[in-house]
Amino acid sequence: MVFSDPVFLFAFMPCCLLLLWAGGWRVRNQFLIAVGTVFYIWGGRGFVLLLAASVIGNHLAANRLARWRTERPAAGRRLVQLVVVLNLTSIGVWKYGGFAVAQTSALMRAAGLHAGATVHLALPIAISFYTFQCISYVIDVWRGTSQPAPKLTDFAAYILLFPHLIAGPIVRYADIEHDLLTVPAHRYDDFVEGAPRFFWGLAKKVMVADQVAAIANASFDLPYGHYTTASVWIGALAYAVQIYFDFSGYSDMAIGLARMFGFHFPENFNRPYSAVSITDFWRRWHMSLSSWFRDYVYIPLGGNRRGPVRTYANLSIVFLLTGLWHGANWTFIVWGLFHGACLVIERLTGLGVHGTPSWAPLRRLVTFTLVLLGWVLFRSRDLPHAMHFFYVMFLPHGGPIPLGLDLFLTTQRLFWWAVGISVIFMPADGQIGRVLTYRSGRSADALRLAMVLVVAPLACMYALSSTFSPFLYFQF
Amino acid sequence: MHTRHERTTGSTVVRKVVAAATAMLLFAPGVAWVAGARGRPADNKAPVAFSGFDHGWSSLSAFGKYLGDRLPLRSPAIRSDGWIDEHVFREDPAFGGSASPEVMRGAKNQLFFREDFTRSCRPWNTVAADMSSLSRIATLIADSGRDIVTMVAPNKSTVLSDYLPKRFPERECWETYRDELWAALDTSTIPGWLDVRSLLINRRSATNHPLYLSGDSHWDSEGSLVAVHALIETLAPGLFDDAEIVNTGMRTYTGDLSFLTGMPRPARTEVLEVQRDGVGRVSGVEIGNYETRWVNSTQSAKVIPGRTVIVGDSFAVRALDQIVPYFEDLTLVIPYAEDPSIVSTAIAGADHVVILIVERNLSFLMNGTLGPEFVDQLTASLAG
Repeated sequence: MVFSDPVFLFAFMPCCLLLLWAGGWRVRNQFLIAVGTVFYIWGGRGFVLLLAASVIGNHLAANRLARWRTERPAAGRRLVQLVVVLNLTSIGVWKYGGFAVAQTSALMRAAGLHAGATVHLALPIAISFYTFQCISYVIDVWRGTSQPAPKLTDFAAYILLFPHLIAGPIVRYADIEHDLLTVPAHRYDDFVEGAPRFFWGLAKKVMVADQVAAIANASFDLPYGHYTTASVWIGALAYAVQIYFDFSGYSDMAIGLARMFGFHFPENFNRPYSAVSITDFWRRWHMSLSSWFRDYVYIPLGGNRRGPVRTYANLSIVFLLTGLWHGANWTFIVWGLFHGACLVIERLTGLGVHGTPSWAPLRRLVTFTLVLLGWVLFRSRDLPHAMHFFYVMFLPHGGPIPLGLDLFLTTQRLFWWAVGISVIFMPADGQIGRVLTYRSGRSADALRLAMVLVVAPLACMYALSSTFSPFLYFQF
Repeated sequence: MHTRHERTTGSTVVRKVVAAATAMLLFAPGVAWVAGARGRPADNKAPVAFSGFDHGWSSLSAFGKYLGDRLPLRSPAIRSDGWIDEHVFREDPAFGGSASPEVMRGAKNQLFFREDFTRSCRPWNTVAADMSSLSRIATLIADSGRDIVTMVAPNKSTVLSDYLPKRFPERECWETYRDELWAALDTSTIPGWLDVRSLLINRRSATNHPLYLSGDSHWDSEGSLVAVHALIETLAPGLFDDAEIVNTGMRTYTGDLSFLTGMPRPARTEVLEVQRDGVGRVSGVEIGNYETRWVNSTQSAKVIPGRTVIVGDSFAVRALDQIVPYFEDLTLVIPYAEDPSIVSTAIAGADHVVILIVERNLSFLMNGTLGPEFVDQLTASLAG
C-alpha cells in the first residue's frame, strides 16, 4: 500500500489517527508495531516473517554488542561482522539471487557450457530500506554512537514505523531515538505542522509525478524506429521531473506523516537539480542514502585518507553499490558507475569543491545534463535500450513528435510538467516543503492554508480518480 | 532551522483551520461510510465483492480492493476530475496520469474503442490461422447437416473509418490488419459466410446514416436491422418482408464508450422494432449467465422452425429484439463461458446455427474459448 492509495488516505490513515487520539498515545510504540505490521502485510504478505526475524535478530545482536563493546571487543568485532554479513546475505539472496544466477548462466552459455538454471524470487518489499536501517543501528551501537533500544518493542516500532517502512527515508535510530522513547508533548502542534507537509507530498506525487510519468513512459516505450531527437529529450526531461517529484513527494509524505505521529524525520532532498557538481548533487539527492553510504562504506574503506588512488577506488565502490542498491539490473550498475566516474573526475579537476563556484549557472546546466544522462541509464529497460536512447539524443534524428508520444502530450500533462519545472527552479528560501515544516510568519501560514484548503482537496481528488478503471463488457 | 518542538504555525486561527480541514478531508469518507453511504459504481463493472479473511496473506489486499471500490467520495472525485479535464484543460478526460486513453474521439463526436486499433497491432494470431479456426468450426457444423450462417459484425471503426482522426499511433498497422482480415473473409470459403460489412457500408452510403451509436461501440437499431434482414433472408428467403418495421421513437441510452471516458452522458437514438402479426412470445428463459432461450408461438405467421442457436456476443445481444420474432425456438449462447461445452452442447441440440461475432473479438475467441479445446468438444458433441 502506498500513501497515495485512496484506501490508505481515507481508511488506513484516519483509523490510525483516530485510534491514537482515542487513547493510543500511551502505548504508541506497540500501536505502531501493530499498524506497521498490517501495513506491511498489505503489500508484503508473508515476507512479514522475514521482517520479524530481521527485527528480532538485529535487536538481540545490538544488545549483546552494547555489552561486548567494552567487555569482549574481539568477540564483539566478530559478532558485528557476522550480523552485517547476515543482513547483506538476506538482501543479497532475495534481491540479487535471480540476477546473479542469470548472469552466471549467461557467462556459462558464452563459454559453451550447459546452463539451464533460472531463479525467480519474489522481492520482499522494503528489504533495501529496513536492512540498511538494521545495519546502521547495529554498527552505531557497536561504535557507541547510539544506545541500544531499551526494549524490543522500541526497536520494532523504529523499523515498523510505517511512514518510512516502504520507501524511506533511511532514518537512523539515533535520529528518532528521543521521539521513540518519549510520549510526544506537542501532539496537536505535530499534527497541524505535519499535515500540510503530507499533502504537499501527495500533490507532488499525484498531480505532477503521475501525470508526467505518462509522457516519460510513452517516450521510453516507443519502438526504436520511432525515436526522434525531440522525443528522447522530451522523455529524459519528463523522467527527470517524474522521478524527483515521485521520490521527494514520497519523502515529503513520510516526513509529514511521521510528524503527525510525533516523529521528526530528517530531510531527504535539498533542491538537487540546482547542484553545481555531481558531488553537490549527492549532497542534495536522497541524502539519507548518500550519508548512509558515506558513514558505513566510504569512511570504513578509508574515505579520502589513504591517498588519491584509494579515494577514487573507494568512490567507485560506493557508487557501484549505490547503483546496485537501486535494483538488480546492469542499467543501475552502470548508472552508479557513471556517477562514481563523475565524482572521480571532479576530484581530479577540483570541480567538486564546496561553496558557490564561479560560473554557477553554467555549472548547474552541465550538472543537470549529466544527471539527465544518468536518468536515461536508470530508466531504460536494458543497456542496449539506453545506448539507443543516447544515440538518438546526440545524433540528430529529425521528424515530427511520434504519435505514440504525441497522444500523451495533453494540455493537462504539459501544464503539470510546467508546474513541476517551476517548483524545481524556485529559489532556495522558497522550498515549499521546508517553508511548510519549519518557517513561521504570515506567508508561511498563508501557504499552509493554501495547502490544506486548495491543494489537498485537489490532490485527494486526483488520488481517488486515478483508481478509475472502467470495463467495456459489463454485461458479460 | 527550528529546534525539535518549536511551534512554527503562528496564528491560532490558522492552526484550527489546518486541523479542521485535514480532519474533514481524511475523515469525511469514513464518516459517510459509517453513516451508511457507499460509493456508487463508476467503472462500468461490478465492484469487487468481499471475499472474507480466509485468503491467507492476500486477505488484507483483497479487503483493500473491496473497500476501494466503495469509498463514498470516489465517484464524485472521478466526475470532478473529468469536469476539470473537459472544462479547464478542454480535452477528453484522462484519469490517473499514466493510463492510456481507452477511447478515441473522432469527427461528429463519434467515440471509438481504442482496443480496435491496439489489438489489430498485436493480434492473438495470424489472420490465416484465425480464418482456418473459424472455417473449421463452421465446416464441422455444416458437415453435421445443420444450417449454418457465419457472420462477423464489423467494428465501428471499420464502417465509420472516415470519422477517425487522420493521425493516431496505431493507424498504419490497424489498416493493414483490417484490410488483410476482410480480404481473407471476403474470399473465404467458410460455410454459411454472410458479408455484413458490405451491406452496412452500402446502406450507409445510401442513407448517410452512421448505423452505429455515437457514444457506443455497437451498431444502432438501423445497423442491426441490416444484419437481421440479411440473416433472415439467408435462412428463410422472403420471410423478412412480412414484418412491419415500426419506429417506436427515441430512446435514451448511455453508451459503453461514454462510460469508458469516465464522464458517461446519456444520448438519444431511434428504435426500430420488428412487429410480426401472429407471433407471440411464449417464454424467454435465462438458462445461465451465458445462455438464454426464447420460444414463440404462432398460428398464422411463418417462423423459422425447429431449434436455432446463435453463438454471439454483444452485437447479437443488441440485435435480439429484432431477431427473436422470426424463430420458433431461439437460444443465444455467449461464447465467453470458461467451460466451452455450454456452446458445443447448445450447437449439438440445434437445427440451425448462427455465428455472430464482432471483428475485434474474432481472434480472441478463436484463440480462447472457441479454440482447439472447443473444437474437440464440438466434434464429440456433434458425433454423439
